[in-house]
Amino acid sequence: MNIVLASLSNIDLTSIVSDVNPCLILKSDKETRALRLADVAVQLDEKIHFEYVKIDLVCVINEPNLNLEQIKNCFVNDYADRFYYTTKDLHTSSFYCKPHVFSLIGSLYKNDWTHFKNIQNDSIELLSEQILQLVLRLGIDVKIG
Amino acid sequence: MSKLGKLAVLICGEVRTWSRASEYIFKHADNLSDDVEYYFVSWDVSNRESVVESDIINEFTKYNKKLISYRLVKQIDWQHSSYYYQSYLSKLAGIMKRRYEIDNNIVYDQVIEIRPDLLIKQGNSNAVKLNNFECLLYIENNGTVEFPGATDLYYQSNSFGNDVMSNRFYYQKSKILDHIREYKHWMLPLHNHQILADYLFARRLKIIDINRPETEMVIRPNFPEGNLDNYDTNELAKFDKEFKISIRRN
Repeated sequence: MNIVLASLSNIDLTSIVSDVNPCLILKSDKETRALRLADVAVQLDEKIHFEYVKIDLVCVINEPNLNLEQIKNCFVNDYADRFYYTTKDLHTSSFYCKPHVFSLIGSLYKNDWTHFKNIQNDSIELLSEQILQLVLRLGIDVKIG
Repeated sequence: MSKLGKLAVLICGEVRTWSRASEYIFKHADNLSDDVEYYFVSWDVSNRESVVESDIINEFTKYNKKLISYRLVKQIDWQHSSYYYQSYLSKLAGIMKRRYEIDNNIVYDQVIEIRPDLLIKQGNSNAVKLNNFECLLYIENNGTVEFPGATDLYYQSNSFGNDVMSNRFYYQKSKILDHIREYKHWMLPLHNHQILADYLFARRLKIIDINRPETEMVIRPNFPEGNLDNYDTNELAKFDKEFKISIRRN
């Protein structure tokens, strides 16, 4: 299985890299977390469609020392048979999903462009809440352990 | 005054009659906005003739339009519904648009996706600015929004909405809707429309009133010579049977 790690911060990925053995690590130097998410989402689509790299899953990592099993507890899925809604939400902001779902999540900053543009604290919590709202609104199933 | 603000026009599809349709696509976009930027994605073959970059670029040069990015890709043969071929090109154009937005720190106010072989005859364009999760489509049947009634000719949305629409390439037909309707999409001649309608339904996209009464569209006509504004839509529709790249004939 070809897994991509997408990192939105400068955390040490040593632990997760040894566990997951990713085919690719994507990072961005954009100014806010939302824009970094958007940037790596575009990078991923470019890899898939312009460079024809086969990718099965994307892990968005925002915490060091996670392993794959822990990340799998935050699964954003598409076309599942059942819905898993929770108020626990994506506060860790680490999750994994299929590439085409990640593509949509990457565009969430456009939901309220002015709002995101004015964010100074680069809030993980706000981003997590926005992701959750977006994926639910788009009819994408969410499973959070 | 720009009605729709900063507008991106994504031209996706087989080149076909682009050399004639371009003028009318440009006019249409100019009626909607004073600030238009274009993206173009097509196959490198059209009607069994190879397509080269100049076939695309020359039209933008001729009419002095701003082409941000373009791409000619090799034809694929998935034996799928044409829905997937068209949506694949849409996906590529969407990536190019998103890259430009990120790199230039902009977000387009509105985005139109259109085919290069679509003739738009325009009167006074009824410009409507759309919000998140709203999608304007050109739909047949005199604008009656029926389910399924969507076509792949023309979409308008804001930039976020276009990102959602351009991701439709991945869409698989809904099991729930299959059960309700008790038929499969390939049993129906409008299957492309139904997959799209399924997608809109699944993604909770609200279809906005799609009828622009002053705007008529004809798909892939073999254009007659002269000013196409002198023909009515029904007359032009008769030219639908044959479509060629007319660029090289001139």
